[in-house]
Amino acid sequence: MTTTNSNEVDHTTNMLKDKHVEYIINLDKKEKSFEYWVTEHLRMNGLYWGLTALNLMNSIDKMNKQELIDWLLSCQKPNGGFGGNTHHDDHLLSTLSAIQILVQFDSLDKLDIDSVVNYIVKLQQEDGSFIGDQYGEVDTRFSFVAILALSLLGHLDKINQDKAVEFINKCKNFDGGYGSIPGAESHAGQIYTCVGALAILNRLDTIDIDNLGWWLCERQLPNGGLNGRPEKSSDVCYSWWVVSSLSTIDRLDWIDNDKLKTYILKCQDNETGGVADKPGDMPDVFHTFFGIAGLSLMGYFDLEHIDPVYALPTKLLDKLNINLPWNKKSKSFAANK
Amino acid sequence: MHGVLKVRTTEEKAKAARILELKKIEEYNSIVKKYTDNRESEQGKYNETSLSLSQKVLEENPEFYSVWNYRKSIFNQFKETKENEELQKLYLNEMKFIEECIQRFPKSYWIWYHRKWISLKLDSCDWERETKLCSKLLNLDLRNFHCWSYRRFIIQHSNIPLEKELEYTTTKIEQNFSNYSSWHQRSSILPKIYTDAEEFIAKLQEEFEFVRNATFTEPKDSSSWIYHKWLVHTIKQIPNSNYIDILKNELEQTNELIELEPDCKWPILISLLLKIEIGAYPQDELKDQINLLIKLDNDHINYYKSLFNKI
Repeated sequence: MTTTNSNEVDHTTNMLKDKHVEYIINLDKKEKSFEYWVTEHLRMNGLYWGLTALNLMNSIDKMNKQELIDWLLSCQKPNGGFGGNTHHDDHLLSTLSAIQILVQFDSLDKLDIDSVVNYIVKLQQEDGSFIGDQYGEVDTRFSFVAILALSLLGHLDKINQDKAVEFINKCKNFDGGYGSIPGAESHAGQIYTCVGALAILNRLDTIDIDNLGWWLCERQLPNGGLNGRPEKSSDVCYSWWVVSSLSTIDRLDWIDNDKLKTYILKCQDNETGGVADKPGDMPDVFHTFFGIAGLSLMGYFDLEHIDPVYALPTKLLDKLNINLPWNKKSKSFAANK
Repeated sequence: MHGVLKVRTTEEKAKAARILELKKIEEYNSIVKKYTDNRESEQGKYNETSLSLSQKVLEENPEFYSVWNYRKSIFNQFKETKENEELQKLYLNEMKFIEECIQRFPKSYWIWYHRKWISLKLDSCDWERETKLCSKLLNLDLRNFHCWSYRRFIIQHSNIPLEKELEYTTTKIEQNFSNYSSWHQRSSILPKIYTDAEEFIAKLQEEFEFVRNATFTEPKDSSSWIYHKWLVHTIKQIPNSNYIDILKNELEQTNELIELEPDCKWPILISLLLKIEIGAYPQDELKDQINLLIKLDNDHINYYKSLFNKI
C-alpha cells in the first residue's frame, strides 16, 4: 500500500484518470481474492463495466482484444444466449453485456446474430414482459436489456413492441417512476431501464416527464450525491441511473451537476485508483464505471461522451447509424433538428 | 461492493488475513469442484446427491445463479419421477434451505425468485408463515424492496385479508415515518380495499389526517410528503369527489405548518402545488413562493424555475 505524500493531486477536485486506467487493467492480474471467486458468474458484466470505463477514458487499446473476444465467444450457449462466464448458464443480462462488448471491439461480425436474436425474442411473454432466461423471472430490467440488445443488432421488429410498452407502463407509479413489476415501488435503477426501453421504442411520449423529473432531482442529497429512493443514502451508482434518466428526458439541469461531480470525485481511491460507492469505501469496477459514466454524461474532464440510454460511447452508436433523438451530442440529433 | 469500508492495515496483519483468505478460497473451490464433477458424471439423472452438493455451493455463494437453475431442473425432473408426497417433502426442505439463505443474503434477486418458484409448487403454502418471515426481515431492513415485493406476491396468492396488510403498514409507519416503502405499500392496498367511491373518499380523508401526523412531526422527511402527493393525485381521479374543498382544507393545514417551520421547503412546495391545483391564486403570491423555494433549496433551482410556466 502506498503512503500519501504531499505531491499527490487532490482527488476531491481532480479526476485520477491514469490511476483508474491502471486499476481497471490490473483487475485481472491481481492476487485472486475470495471476492474474485464468488463473482465468477459476473465476469461478462464486469468486463463490460471495465471496458466501457476505459473507452470513456480513451484507453480501450490497453485491453487484449483478441483474447477477450475468444473468451467472450466461449460463453455463448447452443441456444444463442451468453452466460456470465464459461460454464455458467445463459441469461439476458450477460447476453446484453456480450453484445455491448463486441460493439466496442467493432466485432459484431464475430457473432451469429440470428441465434442471439432468436434467443431474446423467445423470452418475450404474452403480456409484453420479458423473462430473464428460461426459468421465468419477470422484471422491467429484462424488458430493457432485450430491447437494447435487439436494437444494437438491428432486429427490434422481431418482438411485439406495443405489448412491451404496455407492460412497462403497467409498472409506472403515480410519482412518474417505475418499479420492477406492476405494483412495485419506484426505484432509480428501474427507472433507468424503463425510460431507456421507452426511449429506444420511441415512446418517450408515454412518460410523465415533469413528475418523473421532479422525483429524480429529489434524489440529490445535500452532500451532492444521489440516492435511489426517498430517504435512502447516496451511492455513486445512482450517478448513472439517475443522471442518465434525467438526461434522456432532458432535465439534467434539474440537479446541481457541480455538486454531484465533487461527490463522485470524493469517492475516488487516491491510492489504488477506482471509485467506491461512498467516500472512504473500497473501490470496485461496478462503481468505477458508473462514477466515470456519470462524469462523462455531465460533460466533465474531456471524457468520451456516453449515451444515456445505450450506455456506450456515442460515437460508436453514430457509426452503427442508431437513431438517438434524445442525445444532443449525437450526429443523429443534429440531423433530426 | 456496497458499504465495505477501506481499513488501513499493517503488512503483518495483511499477511495473516491473506492466509485465512486462501484457506477460504480453497474450501470454496473444492465445494464447487465436487458439485461440478458430480454434475458431469450424473449425466442429467438427478438424485439426492445433486441436491446436497449444489446446496453446499449456494450456502457459500447464493449469487451463483446457474446453481439455482440446476436445482429447478432437478425439481422439474423429480416431478416426473417421484410421488407427490415425497415431492412435497422435498419442496418443504427447499423452503427451509432458502429461508436460511435469505436471512444471510436478504438482497439476492436469485434467492427471492427461487422462493417464489418453490412456494407455488407446494400443495398448500403456509402464507402466514411467509408473511412472518418478511416481517422479521423488514425489522432488520425496512426498505428491502425484495421483501416488500414478496409481500405483494403473498397477497396475490393467498387469502390473507388486505386489511391485515394495511394494519401492518400502519404499524411500520408509526414506528418510523421515514419509510416510503410502507407508504407505497399502503398506496397499493387502499384502492383494492375501498372499491366503493364514496367509502374510498371518506378513507382518503382519514388518510390526509393520518399523514398530517407525520408531516407535522417530521416536516423535513420526504416520505410522508410523497404519500400526501399520492392522496391528492388519487382523490382527483375519483369522479364527483368534490376534491377542491378537500384540497382547500389541506392547503390551510399546510400553511399552518409553514408558520411553524418557515425554513422547511416541503410545506412551501406542497402549498404551492395545492394552489396551482385549486387555481385562482394571485400570480405574485405564487411567484413569491417559487422564489422562496429557490432560496431555500438552490440545488433544484431549475426545477423550481420550471414552475413559473405552470402558474
